Amino acid sequence: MNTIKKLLIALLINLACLVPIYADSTEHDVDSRSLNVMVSKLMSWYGSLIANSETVLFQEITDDWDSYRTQYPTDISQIQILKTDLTPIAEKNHYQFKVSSLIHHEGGQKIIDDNFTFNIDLDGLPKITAISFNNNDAVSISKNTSDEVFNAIYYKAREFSYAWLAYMDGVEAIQTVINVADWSGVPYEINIGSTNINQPVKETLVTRKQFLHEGEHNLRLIDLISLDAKTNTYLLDLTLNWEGVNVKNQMVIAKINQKIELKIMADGRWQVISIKEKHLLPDLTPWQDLLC
Amino acid sequence: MLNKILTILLITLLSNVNIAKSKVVNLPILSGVGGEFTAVDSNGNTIEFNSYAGNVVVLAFGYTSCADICPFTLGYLKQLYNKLSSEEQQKVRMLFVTVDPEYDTPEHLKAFLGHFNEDFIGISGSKEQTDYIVSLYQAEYNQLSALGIPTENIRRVQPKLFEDESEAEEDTATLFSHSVSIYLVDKDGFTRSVEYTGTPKDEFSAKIKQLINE
Repeated sequence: MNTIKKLLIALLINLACLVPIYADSTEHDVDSRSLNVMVSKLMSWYGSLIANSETVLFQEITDDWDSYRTQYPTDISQIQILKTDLTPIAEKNHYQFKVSSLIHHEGGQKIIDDNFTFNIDLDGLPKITAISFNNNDAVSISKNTSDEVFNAIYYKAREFSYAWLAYMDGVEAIQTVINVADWSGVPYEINIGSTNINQPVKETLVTRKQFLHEGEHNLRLIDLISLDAKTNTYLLDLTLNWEGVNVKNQMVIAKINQKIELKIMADGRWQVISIKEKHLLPDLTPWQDLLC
Repeated sequence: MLNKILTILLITLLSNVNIAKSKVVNLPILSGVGGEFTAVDSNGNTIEFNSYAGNVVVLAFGYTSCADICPFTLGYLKQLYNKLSSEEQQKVRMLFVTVDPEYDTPEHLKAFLGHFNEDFIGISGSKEQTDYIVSLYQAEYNQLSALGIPTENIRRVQPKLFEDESEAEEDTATLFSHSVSIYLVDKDGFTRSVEYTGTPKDEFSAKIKQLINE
Protein backbone atom coordinates (compact mmCIF):
# COMPACT_ATOMS: atom_id res chain seq x y z
CA MET A 1 0.00 0.00 0.00
CA ASN A 2 2.88 2.35 0.86
CA THR A 3 4.34 1.71 -2.58
CA ILE A 4 1.05 2.71 -4.20
CA LYS A 5 0.95 5.91 -2.14
CA LYS A 6 4.51 6.76 -3.16
CA LEU A 7 3.69 6.11 -6.79
CA LEU A 8 0.59 8.30 -6.60
CA ILE A 9 2.60 11.12 -5.03
CA ALA A 10 5.19 10.77 -7.79
CA LEU A 11 2.40 10.94 -10.36
CA LEU A 12 0.97 14.10 -8.80
CA ILE A 13 4.40 15.76 -8.73
CA ASN A 14 4.89 14.76 -12.33
CA LEU A 15 1.58 16.31 -13.36
CA ALA A 16 2.18 19.42 -11.28
CA CYS A 17 5.24 20.19 -13.40
CA LEU A 18 2.90 20.98 -16.31
CA VAL A 19 0.64 23.39 -14.40
CA PRO A 20 2.75 26.59 -14.44
CA ILE A 21 2.48 26.77 -18.25
CA TYR A 22 -1.25 27.37 -17.91
CA ALA A 23 -0.89 29.56 -14.84
CA ASP A 24 1.34 31.96 -16.84
CA SER A 25 -1.18 32.29 -19.63
CA THR A 26 -3.83 33.58 -17.25
CA GLU A 27 -1.66 36.49 -16.10
CA HIS A 28 -3.61 39.72 -16.57
CA ASP A 29 -1.96 42.61 -18.36
CA VAL A 30 -3.11 45.84 -19.96
CA ASP A 31 -3.33 45.88 -23.76
CA SER A 32 -0.66 48.11 -25.34
CA ARG A 33 -3.32 50.01 -27.34
CA SER A 34 -4.88 51.17 -24.08
CA LEU A 35 -1.47 51.66 -22.51
CA ASN A 36 -0.29 53.94 -25.33
CA VAL A 37 -3.47 56.03 -25.03
CA MET A 38 -3.05 56.19 -21.24
CA VAL A 39 0.55 57.37 -21.52
CA SER A 40 -0.34 59.87 -24.24
CA LYS A 41 -2.97 61.31 -21.87
CA LEU A 42 -0.44 61.50 -19.05
CA MET A 43 2.03 63.29 -21.33
CA SER A 44 -0.72 65.83 -22.11
CA TRP A 45 -1.44 66.14 -18.41
CA TYR A 46 2.15 66.96 -17.43
CA GLY A 47 3.06 68.89 -20.57
CA SER A 48 0.12 71.24 -20.18
CA LEU A 49 1.19 72.06 -16.61
CA ILE A 50 4.46 73.53 -17.86
CA ALA A 51 4.56 77.25 -18.59
CA ASN A 52 5.88 77.78 -22.08
CA SER A 53 6.59 80.84 -24.12
CA GLU A 54 6.30 78.97 -27.40
CA THR A 55 2.94 77.67 -28.51
CA VAL A 56 2.76 74.02 -27.60
CA LEU A 57 -0.74 72.61 -27.80
CA PHE A 58 -1.81 69.50 -25.92
CA GLN A 59 -4.97 67.44 -26.09
CA GLU A 60 -7.62 68.94 -23.91
CA ILE A 61 -7.83 68.03 -20.23
CA THR A 62 -11.46 68.01 -19.20
CA ASP A 63 -12.68 70.74 -16.84
CA ASP A 64 -13.44 68.08 -14.22
CA TRP A 65 -9.82 68.24 -13.11
CA ASP A 66 -9.41 72.03 -12.95
CA SER A 67 -9.61 72.20 -9.16
CA TYR A 68 -7.20 69.29 -8.86
CA ARG A 69 -4.67 70.98 -11.13
CA THR A 70 -4.60 74.12 -8.95
CA GLN A 71 -2.54 72.10 -6.47
CA TYR A 72 0.50 72.28 -8.74
CA PRO A 73 2.71 75.37 -8.73
CA THR A 74 1.77 77.79 -11.54
CA ASP A 75 5.27 78.62 -12.68
CA ILE A 76 6.58 75.18 -13.60
CA SER A 77 9.56 75.19 -15.98
CA GLN A 78 10.24 71.43 -16.11
CA ILE A 79 8.72 68.18 -14.89
CA GLN A 80 10.96 65.17 -14.62
CA ILE A 81 9.13 61.88 -14.22
CA LEU A 82 11.11 59.82 -11.76
CA LYS A 83 9.07 56.66 -11.37
CA THR A 84 5.92 55.06 -12.76
CA ASP A 85 3.97 52.02 -11.74
CA LEU A 86 0.90 50.59 -13.47
CA THR A 87 -1.20 48.03 -11.64
CA PRO A 88 -4.67 46.58 -12.18
CA ILE A 89 -7.10 47.22 -9.33
CA ALA A 90 -9.95 45.10 -8.07
CA GLU A 91 -12.64 46.88 -10.09
CA LYS A 92 -12.89 45.37 -13.57
CA ASN A 93 -11.05 47.26 -16.35
CA HIS A 94 -9.63 49.75 -13.85
CA TYR A 95 -5.94 50.49 -13.53
CA GLN A 96 -3.90 52.60 -11.19
CA PHE A 97 -1.07 54.60 -12.73
CA LYS A 98 1.26 55.97 -10.07
CA VAL A 99 3.61 58.70 -11.24
CA SER A 100 6.30 60.23 -9.12
CA SER A 101 7.67 63.44 -10.61
CA LEU A 102 10.15 66.15 -9.77
CA ILE A 103 8.66 69.57 -10.41
CA HIS A 104 11.01 72.45 -11.17
CA HIS A 105 9.38 75.82 -10.49
CA GLU A 106 10.40 79.32 -9.60
CA GLY A 107 10.20 78.63 -5.89
CA GLY A 108 12.48 75.57 -6.14
CA GLN A 109 11.81 71.90 -6.61
CA LYS A 110 9.31 69.48 -5.18
CA ILE A 111 8.38 65.87 -5.66
CA ILE A 112 4.74 65.14 -6.37
CA ASP A 113 3.21 61.70 -6.37
CA ASP A 114 0.08 61.48 -8.51
CA ASN A 115 -2.09 58.42 -8.52
CA PHE A 116 -4.33 58.24 -11.60
CA THR A 117 -7.17 55.76 -11.86
CA PHE A 118 -8.06 54.81 -15.43
CA ASN A 119 -11.17 53.04 -16.57
CA ILE A 120 -10.86 51.28 -19.91
CA ASP A 121 -14.15 51.39 -21.77
CA LEU A 122 -15.54 48.73 -24.11
CA ASP A 123 -13.63 50.23 -27.06
CA GLY A 124 -10.38 49.89 -25.12
CA LEU A 125 -10.11 53.62 -24.52
CA PRO A 126 -8.89 54.64 -21.08
CA LYS A 127 -10.46 57.53 -19.22
CA ILE A 128 -9.18 59.14 -16.03
CA THR A 129 -11.80 58.57 -13.32
CA ALA A 130 -9.92 59.59 -10.18
CA ILE A 131 -6.66 61.18 -9.09
CA SER A 132 -5.01 61.45 -5.73
CA PHE A 133 -2.11 63.69 -4.91
CA ASN A 134 0.79 63.63 -2.49
CA ASN A 135 2.86 66.77 -2.29
CA ASN A 136 6.35 66.52 -0.73
CA ASP A 137 7.47 70.06 -0.07
CA ALA A 138 10.73 69.39 1.68
CA VAL A 139 12.90 67.27 -0.55
CA SER A 140 16.57 67.12 -1.22
CA ILE A 141 17.27 66.30 -4.81
CA SER A 142 20.56 65.29 -6.32
CA LYS A 143 21.40 67.41 -9.36
CA ASN A 144 20.13 66.13 -12.68
CA THR A 145 23.28 65.11 -14.53
CA SER A 146 21.67 64.55 -17.94
CA ASP A 147 21.37 67.30 -20.53
CA GLU A 148 17.72 66.46 -21.15
CA VAL A 149 15.28 69.32 -20.68
CA PHE A 150 11.86 68.20 -19.49
CA ASN A 151 9.91 71.09 -20.94
CA ALA A 152 6.63 71.35 -22.82
CA ILE A 153 8.07 70.21 -26.15
CA TYR A 154 9.57 67.15 -24.44
CA TYR A 155 6.04 66.16 -23.40
CA LYS A 156 4.51 67.15 -26.73
CA ALA A 157 6.90 64.75 -28.53
CA ARG A 158 5.79 61.94 -26.23
CA GLU A 159 2.10 62.80 -26.35
CA PHE A 160 2.30 62.72 -30.15
CA SER A 161 4.40 59.53 -30.31
CA TYR A 162 2.23 57.46 -27.97
CA ALA A 163 -0.89 58.64 -29.79
CA TRP A 164 0.70 57.70 -33.15
CA LEU A 165 1.52 54.22 -31.79
CA ALA A 166 -2.06 53.79 -30.63
CA TYR A 167 -3.32 54.96 -34.02
CA MET A 168 -1.09 52.44 -35.83
CA ASP A 169 -2.55 49.77 -33.56
CA GLY A 170 -6.02 50.75 -34.72
CA VAL A 171 -7.24 53.25 -32.10
CA GLU A 172 -9.12 55.58 -34.46
CA ALA A 173 -10.38 57.82 -31.66
CA ILE A 174 -6.85 59.09 -30.99
CA GLN A 175 -6.44 60.59 -34.48
CA THR A 176 -7.45 64.08 -33.38
CA VAL A 177 -4.38 64.22 -31.10
CA ILE A 178 -2.07 63.76 -34.09
CA ASN A 179 -4.28 65.60 -36.63
CA VAL A 180 -4.46 62.67 -39.04
CA ALA A 181 -6.93 64.73 -41.09
CA ASP A 182 -3.99 66.96 -42.13
CA TRP A 183 -1.87 64.04 -43.30
CA SER A 184 -3.42 63.55 -46.70
CA GLY A 185 -0.63 63.01 -49.23
CA VAL A 186 2.11 62.74 -46.62
CA PRO A 187 4.62 60.16 -47.96
CA TYR A 188 5.28 57.15 -45.75
CA GLU A 189 8.08 54.87 -46.93
CA ILE A 190 8.79 51.50 -45.36
CA ASN A 191 11.68 49.12 -45.92
CA ILE A 192 11.09 45.58 -44.68
CA GLY A 193 14.07 43.59 -45.95
CA SER A 194 13.87 43.71 -49.75
CA THR A 195 10.26 44.96 -49.66
CA ASN A 196 9.75 48.66 -50.21
CA ILE A 197 6.42 50.38 -49.66
CA ASN A 198 6.16 54.03 -50.59
CA GLN A 199 2.68 55.52 -50.57
CA PRO A 200 0.71 58.19 -48.71
CA VAL A 201 0.26 57.42 -45.00
CA LYS A 202 -3.21 55.83 -45.13
CA GLU A 203 -2.35 53.57 -48.08
CA THR A 204 1.02 52.58 -46.58
CA LEU A 205 -0.68 51.65 -43.31
CA VAL A 206 -3.05 49.38 -45.24
CA THR A 207 -0.17 47.66 -47.11
CA ARG A 208 1.86 47.45 -43.89
CA LYS A 209 -1.00 45.44 -42.37
CA GLN A 210 -0.03 42.46 -44.54
CA PHE A 211 3.23 42.23 -42.61
CA LEU A 212 2.17 43.57 -39.22
CA HIS A 213 -1.48 42.60 -39.22
CA GLU A 214 -2.50 42.52 -35.60
CA GLY A 215 -0.22 43.27 -32.71
CA GLU A 216 1.16 45.85 -30.38
CA HIS A 217 3.63 48.70 -30.76
CA ASN A 218 5.77 49.56 -27.78
CA LEU A 219 7.94 52.66 -27.69
CA ARG A 220 11.57 51.99 -26.80
CA LEU A 221 13.50 55.13 -27.77
CA ILE A 222 12.49 58.65 -28.70
CA ASP A 223 14.51 61.63 -29.81
CA LEU A 224 13.34 64.97 -31.18
CA ILE A 225 16.03 66.69 -33.24
CA SER A 226 15.74 70.23 -34.56
CA LEU A 227 16.44 70.23 -38.30
CA ASP A 228 15.95 73.90 -39.01
CA ALA A 229 15.11 76.44 -36.34
CA LYS A 230 14.07 79.04 -38.93
CA THR A 231 11.40 76.85 -40.48
CA ASN A 232 10.60 75.10 -37.20
CA THR A 233 11.17 71.64 -38.68
CA TYR A 234 12.08 68.67 -36.54
CA LEU A 235 12.94 65.01 -36.89
CA LEU A 236 11.16 62.71 -34.49
CA ASP A 237 13.28 59.56 -34.29
CA LEU A 238 11.41 56.61 -32.78
CA THR A 239 12.49 53.06 -32.07
CA LEU A 240 9.60 50.67 -31.47
CA ASN A 241 9.16 47.01 -30.78
CA TRP A 242 6.25 45.20 -32.35
CA GLU A 243 4.89 41.77 -31.60
CA GLY A 244 1.91 40.11 -33.23
CA VAL A 245 0.83 38.19 -36.32
CA ASN A 246 0.96 38.82 -40.05
CA VAL A 247 -2.01 38.50 -42.39
CA LYS A 248 -1.42 34.71 -42.55
CA ASN A 249 -1.61 34.57 -38.75
CA GLN A 250 2.11 33.75 -38.42
CA MET A 251 3.88 35.16 -35.37
CA VAL A 252 6.08 38.14 -36.17
CA ILE A 253 8.41 40.32 -34.13
CA ALA A 254 9.90 43.57 -35.33
CA LYS A 255 12.24 46.27 -34.16
CA ILE A 256 11.21 49.37 -36.04
CA ASN A 257 12.93 52.68 -36.57
CA GLN A 258 10.74 55.56 -37.73
CA LYS A 259 12.00 58.94 -38.76
CA ILE A 260 9.13 61.40 -38.80
CA GLU A 261 9.92 64.80 -40.29
CA LEU A 262 7.53 67.45 -39.07
CA LYS A 263 6.97 71.15 -38.89
CA ILE A 264 5.54 72.98 -35.90
CA MET A 265 3.03 75.42 -37.34
CA ALA A 266 2.44 78.94 -36.03
CA ASP A 267 -0.80 77.80 -34.39
CA GLY A 268 1.03 74.99 -32.56
CA ARG A 269 -0.13 72.11 -34.77
CA TRP A 270 2.40 69.45 -35.65
CA GLN A 271 2.30 69.01 -39.41
CA VAL A 272 3.90 65.74 -40.52
CA ILE A 273 6.01 66.16 -43.69
CA SER A 274 7.20 62.58 -44.24
CA ILE A 275 7.69 59.25 -42.48
CA LYS A 276 10.48 56.77 -43.16
CA GLU A 277 10.43 53.36 -41.52
CA LYS A 278 13.02 50.61 -41.48
CA HIS A 279 12.76 47.24 -39.78
CA LEU A 280 15.92 46.46 -37.86
CA LEU A 281 17.32 43.25 -36.45
CA PRO A 282 15.34 42.69 -33.22
CA ASP A 283 17.36 42.52 -30.02
CA LEU A 284 17.50 38.77 -29.64
CA THR A 285 20.92 37.62 -28.65
CA PRO A 286 24.12 38.97 -27.13
CA TRP A 287 26.21 37.79 -30.10
CA GLN A 288 24.17 39.29 -32.93
CA ASP A 289 26.39 42.38 -33.14
CA LEU A 290 29.62 40.45 -32.65
CA LEU A 291 32.27 40.72 -35.36
CA CYS A 292 35.22 38.35 -35.75
CA MET B 1 -4.21 -3.28 -8.91
CA LEU B 2 -0.61 -2.29 -8.35
CA ASN B 3 0.23 -3.35 -11.89
CA LYS B 4 -2.55 -1.15 -13.27
CA ILE B 5 -1.33 1.88 -11.30
CA LEU B 6 2.23 1.24 -12.41
CA THR B 7 1.10 1.02 -16.02
CA ILE B 8 -0.85 4.29 -15.78
CA LEU B 9 2.11 5.97 -14.08
CA LEU B 10 4.49 4.75 -16.75
CA ILE B 11 2.23 5.96 -19.57
CA THR B 12 1.90 9.37 -17.90
CA LEU B 13 5.65 9.67 -17.39
CA LEU B 14 6.35 8.65 -20.97
CA SER B 15 3.77 11.05 -22.34
CA ASN B 16 5.47 13.87 -20.44
CA VAL B 17 8.82 12.83 -21.89
CA ASN B 18 7.22 12.96 -25.32
CA ILE B 19 5.82 16.42 -24.60
CA ALA B 20 9.33 17.57 -23.67
CA LYS B 21 10.89 15.92 -26.71
CA SER B 22 8.37 17.21 -29.22
CA LYS B 23 8.39 20.69 -27.68
CA VAL B 24 7.75 23.21 -30.41
CA VAL B 25 10.08 26.18 -30.10
CA ASN B 26 8.63 29.60 -30.67
CA LEU B 27 10.22 30.82 -33.90
CA PRO B 28 8.52 34.07 -34.93
CA ILE B 29 9.29 35.73 -38.25
CA LEU B 30 11.96 38.39 -37.70
CA SER B 31 10.47 41.23 -39.71
CA GLY B 32 12.93 42.95 -42.03
CA VAL B 33 15.74 40.42 -41.64
CA GLY B 34 16.66 38.89 -45.00
CA GLY B 35 14.79 39.10 -48.27
CA GLU B 36 15.10 38.63 -51.98
CA PHE B 37 18.52 39.03 -53.66
CA THR B 38 20.44 38.06 -56.78
CA ALA B 39 23.96 36.59 -56.57
CA VAL B 40 26.25 33.94 -58.05
CA ASP B 41 26.49 30.46 -56.58
CA SER B 42 29.64 28.33 -56.35
CA ASN B 43 28.78 26.64 -59.65
CA GLY B 44 28.98 30.03 -61.32
CA ASN B 45 25.22 30.26 -61.86
CA THR B 46 23.29 33.44 -61.27
CA ILE B 47 20.69 32.71 -58.62
CA GLU B 48 17.72 34.44 -57.05
CA PHE B 49 17.29 33.76 -53.36
CA ASN B 50 13.70 32.68 -53.99
CA SER B 51 15.05 29.76 -56.04
CA TYR B 52 15.65 28.14 -52.62
CA ALA B 53 11.97 28.58 -51.68
CA GLY B 54 10.53 25.34 -50.34
CA ASN B 55 13.82 24.57 -48.58
CA VAL B 56 14.99 25.60 -45.15
CA VAL B 57 18.11 27.77 -45.51
CA VAL B 58 20.97 28.13 -43.06
CA LEU B 59 23.02 31.19 -44.02
CA ALA B 60 26.37 32.46 -42.71
CA PHE B 61 28.83 35.16 -43.79
CA GLY B 62 32.59 34.73 -44.09
CA TYR B 63 35.45 34.46 -46.60
CA THR B 64 37.95 31.83 -47.64
CA SER B 65 41.08 33.64 -46.38
CA CYS B 66 39.62 33.80 -42.86
CA ALA B 67 41.97 31.91 -40.57
CA ASP B 68 39.81 31.64 -37.48
CA ILE B 69 36.03 31.91 -37.18
CA CYS B 70 35.04 30.81 -40.72
CA PRO B 71 36.67 27.35 -40.64
CA PHE B 72 35.29 26.97 -37.12
CA THR B 73 31.77 28.01 -38.24
CA LEU B 74 31.87 25.70 -41.25
CA GLY B 75 33.10 22.83 -39.07
CA TYR B 76 30.15 23.52 -36.80
CA LEU B 77 27.74 23.67 -39.78
CA LYS B 78 29.18 20.37 -41.07
CA GLN B 79 28.40 18.69 -37.74
CA LEU B 80 24.99 20.35 -37.65
CA TYR B 81 24.22 19.13 -41.17
CA ASN B 82 25.31 15.61 -40.19
CA LYS B 83 22.66 15.62 -37.47
CA LEU B 84 20.00 15.63 -40.18
CA SER B 85 18.83 12.53 -41.99
CA SER B 86 19.62 12.37 -45.72
CA GLU B 87 15.93 13.03 -46.38
CA GLU B 88 16.09 16.14 -44.20
CA GLN B 89 19.36 17.25 -45.79
CA GLN B 90 17.61 17.31 -49.16
CA LYS B 91 15.23 19.91 -47.75
CA VAL B 92 17.98 22.16 -46.39
CA ARG B 93 20.38 24.52 -48.18
CA MET B 94 23.53 25.60 -46.35
CA LEU B 95 24.70 28.95 -47.77
CA PHE B 96 28.06 30.54 -47.13
CA VAL B 97 28.05 34.15 -48.37
CA THR B 98 31.49 35.56 -48.97
CA VAL B 99 32.25 39.11 -47.88
CA ASP B 100 35.26 39.08 -50.23
CA PRO B 101 33.73 38.35 -53.63
CA GLU B 102 36.70 39.88 -55.41
CA TYR B 103 39.03 37.14 -54.13
CA ASP B 104 36.48 34.36 -53.57
CA THR B 105 35.58 33.30 -57.08
CA PRO B 106 32.82 30.68 -57.43
CA GLU B 107 35.44 27.98 -58.24
CA HIS B 108 37.56 28.87 -55.21
CA LEU B 109 34.51 28.95 -52.94
CA LYS B 110 33.48 25.53 -54.23
CA ALA B 111 36.92 24.03 -53.54
CA PHE B 112 37.00 25.67 -50.09
CA LEU B 113 33.51 24.51 -49.06
CA GLY B 114 34.20 21.03 -50.41
CA HIS B 115 36.51 20.52 -47.43
CA PHE B 116 33.48 20.68 -45.18
CA ASN B 117 30.62 19.31 -47.22
CA GLU B 118 30.09 19.20 -50.95
CA ASP B 119 26.44 20.11 -50.48
CA PHE B 120 27.35 23.50 -49.05
CA ILE B 121 26.70 26.37 -51.44
CA GLY B 122 29.01 29.36 -51.76
CA ILE B 123 27.43 32.69 -52.63
CA SER B 124 29.40 35.47 -54.28
CA GLY B 125 28.76 38.14 -56.88
CA SER B 126 29.69 41.76 -57.26
CA LYS B 127 30.63 43.89 -54.25
CA GLU B 128 27.28 45.69 -54.62
CA GLN B 129 25.43 42.37 -54.49
CA THR B 130 27.42 41.31 -51.41
CA ASP B 131 26.79 44.62 -49.67
CA TYR B 132 23.09 44.28 -50.42
CA ILE B 133 22.90 40.77 -48.94
CA VAL B 134 24.83 41.94 -45.87
CA SER B 135 22.41 44.85 -45.45
CA LEU B 136 19.36 42.59 -45.87
CA TYR B 137 20.52 40.40 -42.98
CA GLN B 138 21.58 43.51 -41.03
CA ALA B 139 25.03 41.98 -40.74
CA GLU B 140 28.32 43.85 -40.96
CA TYR B 141 31.80 43.46 -42.34
CA ASN B 142 34.87 45.67 -42.40
CA GLN B 143 38.07 45.49 -44.35
CA LEU B 144 40.90 45.31 -41.81
CA SER B 145 43.73 46.63 -43.96
CA ALA B 146 44.01 48.49 -47.22
CA LEU B 147 46.94 46.37 -48.37
CA GLY B 148 46.71 42.70 -49.30
CA ILE B 149 48.61 40.18 -47.21
CA PRO B 150 50.68 37.46 -48.94
CA THR B 151 48.46 34.40 -48.68
CA GLU B 152 51.47 32.24 -47.79
CA ASN B 153 51.36 34.04 -44.43
CA ILE B 154 47.71 33.15 -43.83
CA ARG B 155 46.78 29.76 -42.39
CA ARG B 156 44.15 28.61 -44.85
CA VAL B 157 41.95 25.59 -45.37
CA GLN B 158 42.19 25.79 -49.15
CA PRO B 159 44.84 27.77 -51.06
CA LYS B 160 43.55 29.31 -54.23
CA LEU B 161 44.54 27.35 -57.31
CA PHE B 162 46.39 29.11 -60.12
CA GLU B 163 47.49 27.83 -63.48
CA ASP B 164 50.73 29.75 -63.24
CA GLU B 165 52.88 29.04 -60.14
CA SER B 166 54.29 32.56 -60.08
CA GLU B 167 50.78 33.88 -59.62
CA ALA B 168 50.39 31.70 -56.54
CA GLU B 169 53.62 33.12 -55.10
CA GLU B 170 52.41 36.68 -55.60
CA ASP B 171 48.92 35.95 -54.34
CA THR B 172 47.64 38.35 -51.70
CA ALA B 173 44.35 38.52 -49.83
CA THR B 174 42.58 41.06 -47.68
CA LEU B 175 41.49 40.39 -44.13
CA PHE B 176 38.02 41.28 -42.86
CA SER B 177 36.06 41.30 -39.67
CA HIS B 178 32.45 40.16 -40.11
CA SER B 179 29.28 39.13 -38.29
CA VAL B 180 29.35 35.66 -36.79
CA SER B 181 25.59 35.09 -36.72
CA ILE B 182 24.03 32.12 -38.49
CA TYR B 183 20.56 32.82 -39.91
CA LEU B 184 17.83 30.22 -40.04
CA VAL B 185 15.40 30.92 -42.87
CA ASP B 186 12.11 29.10 -43.40
CA LYS B 187 10.69 27.64 -46.60
CA ASP B 188 8.98 30.95 -47.45
CA GLY B 189 12.21 32.93 -47.12
CA PHE B 190 11.43 34.43 -43.70
CA THR B 191 14.27 34.58 -41.17
CA ARG B 192 13.07 32.79 -38.06
CA SER B 193 16.11 32.61 -35.82
CA VAL B 194 19.62 33.97 -35.39
CA GLU B 195 22.11 31.48 -34.00
CA TYR B 196 25.88 31.15 -33.65
CA THR B 197 28.46 28.43 -33.09
CA GLY B 198 27.67 28.48 -29.37
CA THR B 199 24.14 27.18 -29.99
CA PRO B 200 24.00 23.50 -28.97
CA LYS B 201 23.81 21.56 -32.22
CA ASP B 202 20.88 19.44 -31.00
CA GLU B 203 18.93 22.63 -30.27
CA PHE B 204 19.75 24.11 -33.67
CA SER B 205 18.99 20.92 -35.60
CA ALA B 206 15.65 20.64 -33.76
CA LYS B 207 14.76 24.12 -35.04
CA ILE B 208 15.75 23.16 -38.59
CA LYS B 209 13.58 20.02 -38.36
CA GLN B 210 10.70 22.05 -36.99
CA LEU B 211 10.85 24.37 -40.01
CA ILE B 212 11.14 21.42 -42.41
CA ASN B 213 7.95 20.00 -40.94
CA GLU B 214 5.95 23.24 -41.01
